[in-house]
Amino acid sequence: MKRTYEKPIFLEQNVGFANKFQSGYYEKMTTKIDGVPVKDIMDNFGSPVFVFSEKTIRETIRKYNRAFKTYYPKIVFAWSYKTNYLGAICSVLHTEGSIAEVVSEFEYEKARNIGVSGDRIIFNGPYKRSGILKQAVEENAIINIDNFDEIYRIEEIALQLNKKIDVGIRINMNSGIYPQWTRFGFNYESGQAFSAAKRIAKSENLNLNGIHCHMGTYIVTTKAYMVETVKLVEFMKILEHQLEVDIEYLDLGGGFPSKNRLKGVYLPPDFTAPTIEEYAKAIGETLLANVSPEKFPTVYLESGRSIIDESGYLLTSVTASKRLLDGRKTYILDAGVNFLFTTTWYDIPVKVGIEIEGPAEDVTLYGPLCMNIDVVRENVKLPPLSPGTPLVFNPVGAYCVTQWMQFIEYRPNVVMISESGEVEIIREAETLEDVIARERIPERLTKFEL
Amino acid sequence: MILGVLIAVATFVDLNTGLCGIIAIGTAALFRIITKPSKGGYHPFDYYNPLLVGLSIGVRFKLSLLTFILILASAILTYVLTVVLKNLLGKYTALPVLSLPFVIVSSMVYLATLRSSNLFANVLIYHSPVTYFDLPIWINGYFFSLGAIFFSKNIIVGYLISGALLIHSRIMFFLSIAGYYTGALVTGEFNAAHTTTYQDMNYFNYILIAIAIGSIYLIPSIKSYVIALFAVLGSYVVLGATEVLFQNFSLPVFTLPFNITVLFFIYYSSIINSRLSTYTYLKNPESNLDYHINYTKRFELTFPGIALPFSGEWTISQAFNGLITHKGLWRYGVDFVIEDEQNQQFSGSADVLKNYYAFSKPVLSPIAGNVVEVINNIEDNAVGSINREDNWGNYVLIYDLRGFYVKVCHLEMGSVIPATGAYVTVGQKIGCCGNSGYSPTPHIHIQLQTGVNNNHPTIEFQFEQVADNNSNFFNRITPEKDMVLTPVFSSKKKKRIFELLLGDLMEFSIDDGNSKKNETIEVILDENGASCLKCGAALLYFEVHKNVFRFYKYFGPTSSILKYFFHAIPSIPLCDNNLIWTDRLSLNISLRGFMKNFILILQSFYWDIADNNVNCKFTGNYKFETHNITRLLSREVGSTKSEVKIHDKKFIEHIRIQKNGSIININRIKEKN
Ligand SMILES: Cc1ncc(COP(=O)(O)O)c(C=O)c1O
Repeated sequence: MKRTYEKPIFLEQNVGFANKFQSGYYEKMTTKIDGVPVKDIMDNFGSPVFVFSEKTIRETIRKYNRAFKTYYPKIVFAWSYKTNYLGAICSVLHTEGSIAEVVSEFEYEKARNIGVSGDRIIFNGPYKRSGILKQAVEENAIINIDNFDEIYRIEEIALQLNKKIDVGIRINMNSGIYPQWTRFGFNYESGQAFSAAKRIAKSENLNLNGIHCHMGTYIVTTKAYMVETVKLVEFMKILEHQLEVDIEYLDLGGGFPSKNRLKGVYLPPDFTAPTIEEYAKAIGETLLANVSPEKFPTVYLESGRSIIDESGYLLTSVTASKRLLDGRKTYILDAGVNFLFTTTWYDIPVKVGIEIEGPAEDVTLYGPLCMNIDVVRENVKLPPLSPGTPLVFNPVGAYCVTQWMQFIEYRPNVVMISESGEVEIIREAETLEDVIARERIPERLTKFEL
Repeated sequence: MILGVLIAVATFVDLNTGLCGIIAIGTAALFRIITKPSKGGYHPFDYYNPLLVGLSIGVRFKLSLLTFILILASAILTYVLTVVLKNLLGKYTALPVLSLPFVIVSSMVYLATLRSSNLFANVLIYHSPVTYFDLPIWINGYFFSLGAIFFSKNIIVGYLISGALLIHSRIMFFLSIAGYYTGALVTGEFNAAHTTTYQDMNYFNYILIAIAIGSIYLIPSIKSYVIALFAVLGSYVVLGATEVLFQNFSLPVFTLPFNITVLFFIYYSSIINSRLSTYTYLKNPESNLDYHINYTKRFELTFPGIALPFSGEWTISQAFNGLITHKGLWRYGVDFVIEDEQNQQFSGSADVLKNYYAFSKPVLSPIAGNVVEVINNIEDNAVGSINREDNWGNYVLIYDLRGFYVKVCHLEMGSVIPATGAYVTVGQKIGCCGNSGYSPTPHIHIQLQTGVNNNHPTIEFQFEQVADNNSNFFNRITPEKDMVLTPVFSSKKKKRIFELLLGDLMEFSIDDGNSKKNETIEVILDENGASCLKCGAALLYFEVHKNVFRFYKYFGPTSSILKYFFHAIPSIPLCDNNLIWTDRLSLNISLRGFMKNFILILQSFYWDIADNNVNCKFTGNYKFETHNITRLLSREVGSTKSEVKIHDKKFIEHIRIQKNGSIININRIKEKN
């Protein structure tokens, strides 16, 4: 192989590090995804490009189902659309038996459009527009009420439709984790949740049949889930005894961590986070120990990031390098925070997409946006990279392709590698037409001379 | 119905006889009303003995005041005898009274009146047989015998009865012929007088015996036919003997040979093989057979059923008569492990117990019962080694009230939850899967045994309410190696939706393309306390068995909205999973007319000549499709497809049935609040 010229530099010696991992960057290479060369994908679908592995998604959801169902029989996974609502991704999960969990009019319509029937959609969220709420009621969606005003609105809809509607409520609680999310749902310990339940039970047109709680995200202790489950079961029993309602489901929300690296956490997640088996054991054993079999409720799990994160890759290219005044080496990539929203919390692991030799150096990775905040990685050890070198960010399957923005750049192709190794586009790169399709320029502004 | 009308007509061919019969029934009914303090049930079958006695007097004496009093007296006597005999027989046996009261009373009446010279002033002239067509005597003999059942010597009555039999039931018709000629030929051979043979009216006994045994009291089958014909043969002796005996007193034998023979043969059959007997008599023998085949194939319990002892998907690594350890006394055992997509039982290193998916997973009670014995302190083996001393390892032994013990073995040390004496329910956690005892890698072993000790033999069993890894649901399944099974737990919501309560009313519109009408369906309890849907004269019985809602019996007109329900929805598993299941229907629900009756006659010889399965599949959580295919000799002779939508509150919202090119739409009419 022809060796490219690299300008000599002075490197600080990091003895311990170098000794243990040799030159460090051999680990930092991902040249193939599911057997398909990174280079080929970029040649065919451009740069940057998002890549999803169908195999990883299926293996993950199957593993999760196996883990949870062997601890508790009535587990149903509900795919949290906000985590990734690309049609193909949702469909893969629906073919694995997951139902849909949505939090807005758009997500509800998206799920319906993909082919999920209303009764297989869990409708959450602090604000559900009246139009879509009415449709959800008519289609017998599983609706979790967030606040008192929503109780009144839903009751109104029920009256209009002359129907008695099954509803659940979202509650929040102290399960020993920080921060405690108290802004969603009714608080448990203060008695607010019981008041809400009582109000619903008194209603002629509402029937309380479920309890929902989503404690937060990236929760790295199984203890929190034990506490959550105990409290939900306890609340279920209180409601059944005192209000004579029949609780048919408990929705434990999501929140299991992915293998991404939270900023400021030194050890990688394999060391800090429990395995999915451990979460399953904590939840399942708590349920088995506290509920008798005839009363087993259906348990929904809305796990998002933990299921999808690892299956997603962003392939991007180095476009230029620049040494800053302080001597630090930086690279400018063709993808930035516009597509990697999760860099806000994560130091997303990045690897080189082709084989490269040379000593690794601490560098900073910038995106292409003409904005100071566009920093993809503050600090990462990489070998010398010449323009055109592909870089692979992974995991990026969660939240990136939903929270990405069309700012300055067109959003790129998203492809999926099927189980048999074919690479298919699941979302085409945007063009000018896509971006301006909804714009209207008033007639009087169409003519100008400069 | 038709039979009744024809018999009435037949009787009225002779007015005197008919009138006497009516007087007898009237008397018996009146007597019942007078003697019974409150309004009671109506038992039409208590009146045919008085009717027969009335008729028997009618053929002998002209109606007059004296005759009238005689009928009165004997009808009451017969009725009393009927009720008493019925009660006695019912108490000690399951035998019917047949026409015994008639034989006893009529014989006594005939004997008693021999001395009543006043009555003989009214004696009827002897009727000579009336024929119309010049048919050979051996053909006429059959019709005369049929007529003689109702004391008629007019061959027309024989024609009518024969026709009525043919319309009512082909099986009965064929048996009447087979019975008659078997009896007649044998008797003729013995008596060396074939011509007179065909003039002996008492041969109707052969006909009745063949029909009663071959098709009424036994379910039509090769066995019932054979028993019937042997009974006819045997009755030759009874008939001959009684004839000779009764002749001394100028008495006819009436139906005495029939009564004696039938009672003995059906009693015998019920002792020898209870599965031959008819338990509920439906419209005709064909319907009995249809119902019996379907009921047996759908519900018959072969072995005890228990639930799977775990949650989630487990693989059977060794089943009954397994090659490794399930042998001899212990041949009915089943071992379960957990495997992943690569058919591996562990992730990571194979030497670490904790890496096995099965290890430490909850073990659930497969039955409800009391815990008899618990072992909880045997160390779990390292992977690959076994403990031959305590070969069951840690286990729980539970007693089931059905009369057997269930043993769940190789549990994790210290994981067993219930104590000896505790009552556990199905699905309750009793411990965790471990690797104790004769177990090289973590697995659950389960067996049923007849007693508490190790040397009590194991018994065969099935698992109930399970799904395999292709989403097929089984109400019961016999475990086999490599099956991947999951216990199916019910959905609370669907159980609520299918909880139909007494008095519930539901309104539906039914549109078959030509006409549209509304029907109201009510949930009622029948006189035995069984739940059913009622719509007009139609009744559709339902039950929730474990996690399955199912219909099991339909009574009513050939066309009713309830019959469509049964056809479209034989059963529904009430669970969250989108499963595939199969069921079967009686032909009565799927077919009509000739084809149905034709198949049933064939099925009386060989059940499996036809089948009538329904393949069902959830297409959404609240939607499913069913496809009923009727096959004769593997050829499709009927097909009905239905799409069903479950109502969000109660029962069914919509059914669309596609049958023979026509489409029937059934829609729930929204009730007003
Ligand atoms: C109601 C609800 N359910 C589920 C999720 C998915 O959470 P996670 O991706 O942490 O599993 C979220 C995320 O915010 C949520 O708000």
